[in-house]
This record gives sequence, structure tokens and C-alpha cells, in this order.
Amino acid sequence: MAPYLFIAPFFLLYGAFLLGPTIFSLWLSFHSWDGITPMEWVGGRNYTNLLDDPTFISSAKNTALYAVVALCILAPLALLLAVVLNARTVRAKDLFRAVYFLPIVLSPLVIAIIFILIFDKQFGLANAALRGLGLEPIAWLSTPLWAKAAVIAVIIWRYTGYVMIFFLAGLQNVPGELREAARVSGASQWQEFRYVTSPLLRPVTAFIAIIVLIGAAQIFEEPYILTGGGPADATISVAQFVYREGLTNLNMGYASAASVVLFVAIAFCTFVLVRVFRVGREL
Amino acid sequence: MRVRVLRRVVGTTGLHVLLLIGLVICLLPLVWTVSSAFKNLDEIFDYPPHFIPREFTLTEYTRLFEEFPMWTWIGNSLFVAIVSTVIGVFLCAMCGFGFAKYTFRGKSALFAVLLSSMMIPFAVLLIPLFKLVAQLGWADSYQALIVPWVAPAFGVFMMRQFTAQAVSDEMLDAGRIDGATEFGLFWRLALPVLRPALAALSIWLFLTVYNSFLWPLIVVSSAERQTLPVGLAALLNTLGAERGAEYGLLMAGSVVAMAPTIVLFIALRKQFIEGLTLGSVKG
Amino acid sequence: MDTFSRKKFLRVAGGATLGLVVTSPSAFASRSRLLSKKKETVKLTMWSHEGEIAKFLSRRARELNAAGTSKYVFAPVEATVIPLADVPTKFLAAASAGTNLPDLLAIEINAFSRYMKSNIAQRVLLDLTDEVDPVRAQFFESSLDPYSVGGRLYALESAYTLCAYYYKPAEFKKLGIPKQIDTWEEMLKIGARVGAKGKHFTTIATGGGGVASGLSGQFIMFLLQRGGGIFDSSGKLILDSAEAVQALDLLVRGLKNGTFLAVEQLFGPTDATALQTGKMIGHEGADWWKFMLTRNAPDQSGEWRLTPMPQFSKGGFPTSHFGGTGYAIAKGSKHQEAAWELLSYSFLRKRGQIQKFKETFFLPTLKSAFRDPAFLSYKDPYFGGQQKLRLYAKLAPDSPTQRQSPFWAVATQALDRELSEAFALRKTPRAAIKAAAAAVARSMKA
Repeated sequence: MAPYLFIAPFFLLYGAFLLGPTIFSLWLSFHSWDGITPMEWVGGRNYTNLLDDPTFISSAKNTALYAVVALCILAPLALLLAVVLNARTVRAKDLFRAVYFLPIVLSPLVIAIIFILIFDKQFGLANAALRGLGLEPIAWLSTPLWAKAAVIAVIIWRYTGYVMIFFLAGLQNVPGELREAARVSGASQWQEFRYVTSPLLRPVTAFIAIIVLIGAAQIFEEPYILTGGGPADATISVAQFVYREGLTNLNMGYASAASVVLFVAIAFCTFVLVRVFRVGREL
Repeated sequence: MRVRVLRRVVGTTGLHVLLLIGLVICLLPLVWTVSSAFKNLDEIFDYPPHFIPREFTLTEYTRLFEEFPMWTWIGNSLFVAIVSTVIGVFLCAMCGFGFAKYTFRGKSALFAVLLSSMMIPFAVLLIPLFKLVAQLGWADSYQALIVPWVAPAFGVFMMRQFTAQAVSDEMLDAGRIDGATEFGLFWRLALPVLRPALAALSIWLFLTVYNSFLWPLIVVSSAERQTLPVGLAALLNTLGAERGAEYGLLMAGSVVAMAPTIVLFIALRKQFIEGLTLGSVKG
Repeated sequence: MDTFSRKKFLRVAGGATLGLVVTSPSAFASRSRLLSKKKETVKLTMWSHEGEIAKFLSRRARELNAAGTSKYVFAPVEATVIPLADVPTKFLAAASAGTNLPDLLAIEINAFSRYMKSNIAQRVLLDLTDEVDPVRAQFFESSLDPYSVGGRLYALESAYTLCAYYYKPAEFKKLGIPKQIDTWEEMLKIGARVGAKGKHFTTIATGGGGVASGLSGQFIMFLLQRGGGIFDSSGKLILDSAEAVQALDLLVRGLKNGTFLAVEQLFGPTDATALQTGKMIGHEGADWWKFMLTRNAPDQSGEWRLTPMPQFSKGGFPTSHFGGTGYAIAKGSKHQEAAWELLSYSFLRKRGQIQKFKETFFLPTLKSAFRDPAFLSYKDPYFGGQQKLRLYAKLAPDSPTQRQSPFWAVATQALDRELSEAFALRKTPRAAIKAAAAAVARSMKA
């Protein structure tokens, strides 16, 4: 009885507000709809059109890239920072933690302005640095490869400190005494981390890995504000594709179909991660 | 022995240098934004960029507050964010506790539903959710602004993982033996241990609600309910798309907008430093 | 009479009249006809990406109130300012949910296509055709056509965005450039020499600069000037054409040989820097481009002048259009009649059109305005007192029309993609145009 009481308020609100629209959008993916005129059944046509849509394919590839980078670079970097900024020998931890967190509070509008300036071919800081090193300036935001790099740089800049906070919260519940004991027994920093801290951190690491995956898969702002998804669809994400098709081009059924595909992909990857981190089996 | 100490000193110093570089990277864009907010419009995009305003001016701030209803915007954003955070964190903690510390029928299914609800881009839920809210007569109301945020699956998942990591069965059993109710276990035993997680969740939820753009854009139709992100975005076009962006006002607005989140972080940061290590029963 | 006793007098007089009304039944019948004409106070709401037109309408509302001829009393128009790209999103979401619609709606010319899909316009906007028909011939057709679908008109253009060429005569003289360059091809020849000195005849947005990069907008301006278009008047796709290739080819060659300077985003930070550092000695632009100058380079006041744009030697128009915003009335509005009364009073009369220019600097769409001597004698202070309206009057009658289609958004998205490829020299102009047209054709078929 008790557990149901604990989870009831959440599921009631969820059921009332979010479940209905979710199911509706699944139903919508088999229709063509502009939001105003009546819906029209089209069966699986939205899905087959997606497979033929080069923009969708690009967005899927880009999103996969962002997810891989987030999981393999951003999250480990955040963990490293959290561990370092939790260590005894580091000074001014408080200051570092606060400053690393700061990028996330800046409005996306301003981030767009700043980073477009930084990556500008003529006047940008990035190319000024390159020129200083004797290298050729790069047309960052108008070259597909470098635009991707620029977007990734912004993503890492913006979120690493933020993810670090979650790791820090988790590290607070890893008892200092245990880590001390390991070090005193002669373990190196790496061994201490691997055999003591890491296992105790696992439920939190699992959580962070999954939300980083889900967050990266749904990324919208950074590519959108920096490059608008270009150049030539080099940076567009699936979430932007969904937004554009649904709200700008008024192809809501088509947009729903794309979000269903995204959902299936995320669900699959999450399932894998759940297995890997053995979520749900801490009890 | 001397070599070892030397290596450690060099290692630590090198570490601090790297941390400092990271600090500068994180801070630079913010410093530029703050300094731009105190410059005249034609000085902001000077090349090469400089941080100290040649002509220190507060006109952008005064213009911002005089010509636009900034206080309304700030007030609305703060109110909605604070209420959503308080309610949401509580509900998530409860629900997470239920999932982490109990077994019950339908648990895996419900948890799967929870996780999957995070995998759908908001753009597809926008119209059906708005329709639902409108039918309730809640269009352009505070309830509508708060409602999507009080049951965030992210928060439940997070609390579940952190609860699994930090709250031990032994501690709860001891509490049960002492005659506590199930809710009492949650309120008096679990919550204190979960303070770091609650802090992290509060920051996440506050930021998410405070910065949300799409939902308030659609829901709000009167000037009294307008929120800060939408107001600031409109600044970019306020004198007409044909007239170019009000960069100075945007900088000033963004500096003001950053303040509450920074304050919240500073207020909560002690949770990350001192978390509760651990007089509690563990190991 | 001083103020105090005047008020008192009026109060007494008012009270006396009221007393008369109430106490004389024989006069009551005729009085009640007078009383029943009590005016309804109307507060009109507007959703727009800018606030100047709302202020303009509010001032006209005050005039209407003072004239007393309307059966409404207008409160100031309340505008909710929303980012440009989100105005249609918000409006269509509200229409979809059947809730809280504004009375007046700003429709940017390139956003109108979103109301054309499945003729949504017919369902959500008031049809203005019959009201406007009697005076239609007095307006430039290229200001009305872009806001029509199915032959019916749904919005009135507020800004007739005629394009001309802004330039700095002193710089031209210093570099030995003739004041009037007749064709773009000629400009390209001169540009090769001048560009090498770090001076450029305009900036071209080459993309990758965020959402509102203006990439396709600038190209479309050139395309229209060349006499081409994306769609024709029947909605057929005509993008894949010699005109389009030539327009794009001009831009690509100009960028390559230094005539034009590449920037990420029009009106963006680097565009501003190019202006402020003197690299930009000229720029093509609509009438509103002058705000780029007044905001970012107030110190260059007096150094700039306006002249007609160079033309394409192979044909086209002497001018073009870039942007524009029409104002429509929502069908869901509770004050349709009042809204139309205010809108027509402000936009359809010559006096209103001229006042609009004085207050917002948007050019009139009314032909007779450009024949008004007082209007034409306006001296723009930033341009050293140049009577620029005379120039616009010459250009106004012969401007291209932007032909709309429900697939306009798809077309601009495709163009954004392919143009950046062409500017980066990864595709030839011909290949880029063909690819963009193919993408649009594919969407039109799906």
C-alpha cells in the first residue's frame, strides 16, 4: 500500500497532463495534420517519407554524434572534474565548482551571439588564436566538419560543469573514511577510484549516463542557435527537425513520426545502458 | 622519497594550472556579457574586443527597465520557477523513494513508462497539451505555466537513483523497529541523507522552469503573465525585424536574468561540499 | 473660466441634462435614441514582433475618438511583442486550441505561407478583399499580392520595402569609383580592384550564423530584382531557372573576387563590425536597412547617400523588395468590426499612410503618397538632408512581386542549405539551385 501512496501524486499528475498528449502524438504519427484543418489518415506514409528525407537522415546522424560525444567525452570529463574538485589536495574548490557551473546560467540568446563571434572567420577569437599559431583561419560555421566541432565545443562548454554537479552530489555519499582507508593501505589514486569510489557511485553514474544520453539525443538549442542546423544540414538535430516540421512547416503528423523514431532509438540505447549499469538491481 | 614529493607537487601545481585554464574558459563569455551590458551599443562589437568599457554606462539597464516590463517578467519567471521547484522536488523525492525502497506489483512497468516519457521531444506534445490546458480554462494562467513541471520524470529517476545509493535498507529497518510510519521514514530519515541530491535536483528544476521558452510562449497571451526568456527574446526584434537587434538591452537583460540562478547555486552549494558523510549505518 | 469652475459648470450642466432626460417623458422617446448610441469602448490587442505599428494605431485611435464619428471609443492598442519566428507558431497554436486570440496580428511577408497551407487563412483570418476592392487600384499590387491566397486578401502591408543602394560618396571618390554604377557586372569589375584594398561594395550573409542568418532573404532580393522568383502566380515552382542561377552566380563571383564581403549573418555582430571599421563602403538594402546605419554607426551620419541599385544587364527590375509585414484581423476576434475600422482608417487613407512614414519610417504602399509634394520634400538627416523619398517615388511603380506558396518555408529552408554550399564553393550555382528546387519539388509531391 505504502509504495503506491508514494508514487501516486506523481503518476496522477503525469497521467492527467502528459500521458494523454503522448498517446495522441503516437496516434498522430499515422496522420497528416496542420493543427487546424481535420486530420487525415495516411498510414505508414510518414515513416516511409522519413527514410527518403535527406534532412532527417542527416539529423539522425548528427544526433548520434552528439550522443556519443556526450557519453564518451562530456560525462567522463564531468566525473573527472567532480572527483578532482572533491579531493583534499585541491585548493579553492568552492570557487572552481561555482565557476564551472556558471556557463549553464547564461541565456541561449547571448551564447549564440558570443560563440558566433568567437567562431567568426574574420574577427573571431578562434581564428585569432589559429593565426597566432601560424595556422590558416577556418570558416568554422560555414564548413560542415568545423561547424560540427563548434557546436560540440559549445555543448561541452555549457554542460560539463552542470553534469559535474550531479556527480558531486553523488560523491558526497561515498564515505570519506572508506577512501581514506584504501589510500592508507597503499592504493593509488586510480585504484582507489576504481575499486572504492566507482562501485559506490554506480547508481548515480547510471543515472547520469542515461540522462546525458537522453539529453543529447534531444538536443535542440546549441545547434539551432549557433548554426540554425546548417551549413547544409551539417549540424541539425532530430529535435530541431521535429520542431521545424511540426511547428514551422505544419506537418505535425510527419513530426510525430520522427519523434517516434527518435523515441525508439533512445529507448533501445537506454535499455542497453540499464543493463550495463544494472539499474534497478541495487536492492 | 624526495622525487615522490616533487612529483606530487608538480602534479598538484599542474592540476591547478589546468583547473585555472578551465576557469578562464568558463568565465570569459560571462565576463564579456557583463562588460557589454555596461557599454554603449556601438562599443559592444568593437574589434579587437576589450573588456573594460571605454565609456561606462548604465543606459542599457535604465532603458531596459524603463521601456520594458522587466519587473513583471522577472516576477513571473521567479514565481513560476520557485513554486514548480518546491512542489516538483517534493513529489519527485516521494516518488523516487517509492521506487527505490519498495517492491510492488507493476513496478518495472511503471518505471519503464516513467523513463520513456523523457524520450519524447516537447515540440510534439505542445499542441495537444495546450489544447488540454485550454479546455480546462487555464490558458494564460499561472497554473498552466507550472503544471508541466511538477511531475518531471527526470526528477523521479534522479531521486530514485540517489535514494538507492544513499539510503540503506538497514537504516530504514532500524527506523521501522523504532515505530516510525513509512512516511516518517521518508521524511525524517531519508530526506536528510538526500540533501545533496535534493539540492542538485532543485537547481536542475529551477533552471529548467526558469529558462523555459516554448511553453510560456504559447500559453501566455497577456502582458501580465509574460516570462523573462520570452520577453528577452522579443527584445531582439522589438523595434521590428527590419530594425535589427537590441544587443545592448539583451546583454543587460541577460545579466539580470542570470542573477537568481547564481544566487540559488550559492545558497545551495554547501550541500555539495559538506553532504552527509555518514554517521548513518553503512557497511 | 478657470479649470476648476469649468469642471464644476460641466458637472452641473451634465447633471441638469440628465435631470431633464429623466424627468421629461415626452422627450424621452427622442432622447432614448440619442442615449442608445452610447459608445462601446474597445481595447484592441495585437500580437507582433515589433511595437511601433501598435503605437501608430493608438495615435490614430485617439484621432478617431476625437472626431467622434465612430460608434466605438478606442483604448490604446495593446501589443504583445514576440520573437519574429514565433508569432505564427503562437497564433496557430492558439487557433488550434480555440483560445485567446488577438484582434490584430502581424504577419511577416515570409511567414504568410504558413497561413496558406490548406488555406488556413480562410479559417483564422478575416477576409478583407471586399472591403479593399473599391480602393485596391490606389495601392501597389506588389504590396497586396503577397498577402493573398485563393484570390482573397487577408492582410494590409505596413512597410513597402523598396530596395536601393546605400553608399559613401567620399569613399567612392577616393577610390576613383563612379557615383552611379549601372549594372552589377560593372560593379564586379570595379570590385576586384577595390576589394583588394579591403573595401567592399556590400556584405553577403554566407550562412552558418544561427537562425536568422538572412541567407536566403538576401538571395531572394537579388532573384526578384533579376526578374525571377521561387514560385509563379499560380504557385508553380519556377526556382530552377536561368534567373536564379545568374543571381546566385553574381553573389558567388562577387565574393570570390572581393567585391562583396562575407559575413555570417546580416545585421549581426560581424556585419556591424564591417560597417564600423569602414570596410563597408556601400550596401544594397531596403528602406529599413538605414537602421543598420543609424544604430551601429551614428558617427557616420552625413557620409552616406542613397542611389538606385545597379541592375542585372540581362534584365529585371530597378529595385526589389526585402521583407515587409502585413497586418491582419483574427477571425476569432471579438472586435472584428472595430479592428477593421481602425486598420482601414490608419492604412487606407493617404493621410494615415503619410503619418505612418513620419512616425515609423515605413514607406507607404499608396501610390498617391509618392505624388504628394510635401511628403516628397522630406530630408533625411542621416543622409545629409537627402530627399530620399524622391528616389523611392521613381522606383516605386516598377518593383517585382513576391509570389507566395504554402511551400515558401520549405523553399527557404532548402535555399539556406544549398546557398551555403554554393558560397563555400562546394557546389556550383547551377548545381545548388537545381538541388534546392529538387528538394522543394519533393516536398510538394509528398
